[in-house]
Formats: sequence, structure tokens, C-alpha cells
Amino acid sequence: MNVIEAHDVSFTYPGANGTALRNLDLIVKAGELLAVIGQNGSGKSTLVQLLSGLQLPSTGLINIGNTEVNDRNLASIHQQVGIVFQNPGSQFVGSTVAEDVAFGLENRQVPSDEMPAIIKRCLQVVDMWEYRHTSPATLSGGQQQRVAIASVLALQPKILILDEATSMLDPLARQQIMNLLVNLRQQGLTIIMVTHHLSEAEQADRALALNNGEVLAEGPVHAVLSQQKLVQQLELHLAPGEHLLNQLQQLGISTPDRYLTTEEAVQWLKQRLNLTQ
Amino acid sequence: MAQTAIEFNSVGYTYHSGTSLASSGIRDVTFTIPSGSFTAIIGQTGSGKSTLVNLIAGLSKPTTGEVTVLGQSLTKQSNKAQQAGIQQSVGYVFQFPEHQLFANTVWDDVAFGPRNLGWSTAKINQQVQTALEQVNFPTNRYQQSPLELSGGQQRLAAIAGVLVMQPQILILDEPTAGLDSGASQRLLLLLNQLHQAGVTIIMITHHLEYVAEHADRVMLMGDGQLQFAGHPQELFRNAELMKHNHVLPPAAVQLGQQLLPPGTNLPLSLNELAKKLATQLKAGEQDE
Ligand SMILES: Nc1ncnc2c1ncn2[C@@H]1O[C@H](COP(=O)(O)OP(=O)(O)OP(=O)(O)O)[C@@H](O)[C@H]1O
Ligand SMILES: Nc1ncnc2c1ncn2[C@@H]1O[C@H](COP(=O)(O)OP(=O)(O)OP(=O)(O)O)[C@@H](O)[C@H]1O
Ligand SMILES: [Mg+2]
Ligand SMILES: [Mg+2]
Repeated sequence: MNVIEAHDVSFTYPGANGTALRNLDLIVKAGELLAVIGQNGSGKSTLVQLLSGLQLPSTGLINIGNTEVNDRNLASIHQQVGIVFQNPGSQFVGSTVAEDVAFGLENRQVPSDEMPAIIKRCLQVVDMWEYRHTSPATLSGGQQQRVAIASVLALQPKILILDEATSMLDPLARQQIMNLLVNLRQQGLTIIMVTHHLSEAEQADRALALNNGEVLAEGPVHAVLSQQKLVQQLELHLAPGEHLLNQLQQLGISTPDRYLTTEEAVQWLKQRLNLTQ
Repeated sequence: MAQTAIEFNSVGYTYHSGTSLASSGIRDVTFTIPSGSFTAIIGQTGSGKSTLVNLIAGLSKPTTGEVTVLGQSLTKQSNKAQQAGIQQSVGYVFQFPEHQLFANTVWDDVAFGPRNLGWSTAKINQQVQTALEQVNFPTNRYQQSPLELSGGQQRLAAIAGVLVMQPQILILDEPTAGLDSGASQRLLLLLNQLHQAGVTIIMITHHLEYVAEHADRVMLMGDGQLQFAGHPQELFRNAELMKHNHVLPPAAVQLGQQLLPPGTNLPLSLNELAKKLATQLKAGEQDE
């Protein structure tokens, strides 16, 4: 089932002289994890704002489920799509962390006796329950990002969009959130994740690569990432396994042509080193 | 001997001190940073890194102890003028760039500091141009509003606005967050150049690869306290201390543990690890 269909979508910011997004086609199936990748300024945030109804296409058509994204259907779009912004500070509304999570639930008219359990569960999965009485404005950068994720999770969207939502987290916390996403996908959630990091993108099902507002490549993540020239052009931060294999290749060791995740790279090297017994 | 740029003497900082909301940011922190060094600050989310550099930059006064920056001292009793003195001698790129962008155009934003110094228009224009070029800011967006930039472009603009002041001490709080790898590499190269030219650099980062490659000193924060200050190699070889403070070892160490024979001295960079593995793989081929 297609949960997102975009046909020939272009977008120009009001008053801007260039097009931020050009002739984009995209289909996302239910339960997929899609990575959106590309250089700074390539149009990633613009795309996810269009997919969540925060901007409307200048031309072209976007459907979320059976609903067309237009100014009459925004309530339904916001109900289905939850987005965590690149800048978490811009999304806080509550005066405490718990109120911030509650705010969206109230808007959705979630019965008030159900709210405490939802709030607790969502703050616990991002490890922020102990900060529930704290003001979001006084949290550290990484703590803010975690609360922003919890507040959107609480709304139980059908489609979850994360726009570089873990950029300030330490590697351990990043892994925890990545594991959480992989779990949520297994439970059927559709996830779109904007990232500059191959170590995150490689865990997706599909990848969409943008360059200067245009789609450079789209497809199964391994197929996209196996195009070495293309990956270079995207200026992604290399995953450790990929970095190591690149270096080995330069040192005259022949390595696989296709993209290996770090886990796969370690397995491949172990075999080559006869460490697998 | 190198001069001291920054000294902390039993420094503590409590947010909302004296109220019911009081919460401890950092506690009993003592260290010195030599002039001209490149210091990385690492540590888990919420460990006190930003709180620490706010004090170095004179944005907050210590609740206890004494902070000295380029010979200027700051204690709980210090007045606003003393705080301003430190603020003027330190360049600080905030963790969230949008917190320091406010003018109508990128150009005016970068020019804001220099204009306050009363430089000639020609000098201001030249310095602003240089700063924007240094960070490789897209030339067709100089007249755009900072609010109408992508996340990465905002960060580059914020960095240019600090560089233009040519500070002797430059603090950057996770400057590569949100930058693509090209922009990150260019920024690190630029920091190296400034370091060579004698600028004292303090960079908060979660990327231990950058620490291993660029910093000559590292400070590890954990639970509001300074857990380690010294050479990166020494810290990265102290697996216990890192683990205790919830910091993962550098990727090269993690992979090396899986791929090299037990007891091998683990390389700290992936390039070094690749060299070791290449030697082994080539030896293996000859045996066959
Ligand atoms: N509000 C706006 N008004 C005009 N132009 C904009 C606006 N927001 C973004 N742009 C421009 O549109 C282009 C695409 O921006 P977008 O934010 O989608 O990039 P991005 O891929 O998310 O980049 P980053 O990785 O830096 O976050 C950029 O060149 C940017 O300058
Ligand atoms: N303005 C504030 N008011 C009250 N408490 C604060 C404030 N800013 C930070 N804190 C608290 O002080 C502690 C240290 O925060 P700090 O911002 O220094 O962490 P950090 O190491 O920079 O973390 P991160 O990597 O997530 O940015 C945290 O527990 C945080 O919640
Ligand atoms: Mg963006
Ligand atoms: Mg911080």
C-alpha cells in the first residue's frame, strides 16, 4: 500500500529567485524506512515540509494515504504525519517537558485519563522521564532533541518524519534512537529520516538522494549507496566500515563493489582474515 | 613555556541558583588551557559541556570559584563590565546557530560585529567577504535573510559572523552538527589553519575521529564534573574511564577489537587500522 505519492512536485519559496525542489516523483510504501540524503541546501527539509503539509507544492500533487495535500485537508494531513524539526527549539510549546508532550495529545482530544500513560511511555523510550518537570528551554541540546522526538511519538502518527533529529546526540544516544526507529518500523510505522550520516542511512529500506533540488537517485538503499561516485557527490559522513574498506582499497586490497554496512564489512573482513571459525 | 589562556579554579555553576528550581550545571571544575592549543571537549548529552563553555565565554558568572580568561578574572561578585570584557575577547559559535542570527541579511549579520568596532567601510566589506569565503558560504545567498536558509547554511553564516572578529580564543559548540562531510572537512581544515596561526581553539564534539586527528588536548565531562584532561591518545586508551562516562571508543578501536588479534595495540584512526589490516591480508595471500 502506498502511503505517500508525489507526482512532479516543484516548490519555490515565496520571493526566492531559485526553485528549491524540481519535478520530484516519490512513492513510499507503508512500513518503509526511507532515508533522505544530500548536501547542505539540496532541498531535504523543503521536501519533508511539503510531505507534512507545512508548505504546499507550487506545482504537482502529493497524496498522503487517500488525502491530497492542499489547504482544505491540512488537519487530516497533520493527523497522519508527525515531523521532528531540524531545530528542536522551534517546536516546544509546553512550560514543562511533560506539558509539552501533553499539548499535542490535548489537540488530538485524547481522553485525559489516557494521557499520563502515553506521556510516561514516550518520555521513557527517549530516556527523558526524569526531566518531566523541567522546562524544555533549560535542557541541553541533546536533551531537547530527545523531548522533541517524544512529543511527536506521542501523537502516534502513521508517518514519522525526522529531519536530522539526532544531530546533537552522542553516538550512544544516536544508536538508541536508531534502534527505536527500527523497532517502530517493525511494528508497521512508516518512517522518513533526513540524515548526513551513512551509518544511519544504511539502516533504511530505501534512499532518496537530492542534489540542488532534484532527485539524483531513488531506490533500495543498497542499490543507491553502491553507486560510489554518487555517494561521493552527496558528501555523506562515511560509516566506519565503508571508511575502512575505502582505505584498504587504496592500499591495494580488492574490496566488494557493492556497499557494505559496517556490520557486513566486519563480517567480510573476518572471513578474509580467517577469523570466522 | 606556553602561556595560559584560560584557567578554572574550583568552578561550579548552578542554574537558577538560590531558587527552588536550582539545578547543578557543573561542579568543582579545575583546569588550565594553554594559549594556542586546540582543545576538544567531549562527554555525554547533558554532561555540562555547553555550561562550561558559557563560562569561558563570559556569558555566565561562576556560582563558586574563579574563571580567568586572558588574564581577566570572573567570580560571582564580578560586574557586567568585567563580564563584557571577557565576552569581547572570545569568539563563540553556539550549539544552535539560529540563536545568534538576527540581522535582515546574511551580509548584515556577519557585518554586525565589525560595524560596532568602528572599522572603515572598506575594511568591513573586505573582512565580511573574507569570512563568508572562508566558510564557503554560497555566494548567491549573501543578501538572503538568515531565516530563509537551510540548517547547514545557517551554521556557516553563524561561524562566519564569529570568525570575522578574528578572536584570539575561538569556541565552537558542535560546529559540524548539520554540516555535510565536505563542509565539515573544510571547517576542520580552517580550524587547523587558525590553530597554526596561534588562535586558541576549543571545540565541543561527539566525533572522536576529529578529536584524534585535530586536537592536542581533550577534556572529558561526565555528570557535571571534569573527568579527564590531557592527551587524546591517553584518554582513548583508558577504556574503563570512557565506558564509565558513557562515551563509546573511537570507531577504529571498536572495529580493531573485532578484527585484530587480542593484545594488539589498537590503532586510534581508521587509516592506521587499514594499514595494519592490509599488511595482514597481504601476508595471508602469500601463504596461500
Ligand atoms: N524560507 C526560505 N526562503 C527562501 N529560500 C529558502 C528557505 N528555506 C530554505 N531555502 C533555500 O532552499 C534551498 C533548500 O533548502 P533546504 O532547507 O530544503 O535544504 P536542506 O537539504 O535541508 O539543507 P541542510 O542539510 O543544510 O539542512 C536552500 O538553498 C535554501 O537556502
Ligand atoms: N538554562 C538552564 N537552566 C537549567 N538547567 C540547565 C540549563 N541549561 C542546561 N541545564 C542543565 O544542565 C546540565 C548540563 O547541560 P549542558 O547544556 O551543559 O549539557 P551538554 O553537555 O552541553 O549536553 P548536550 O551534548 O546535550 O548539548 C543538563 O542537565 C541540563 O539539563
Ligand atoms: Mg535541512
Ligand atoms: Mg550542549
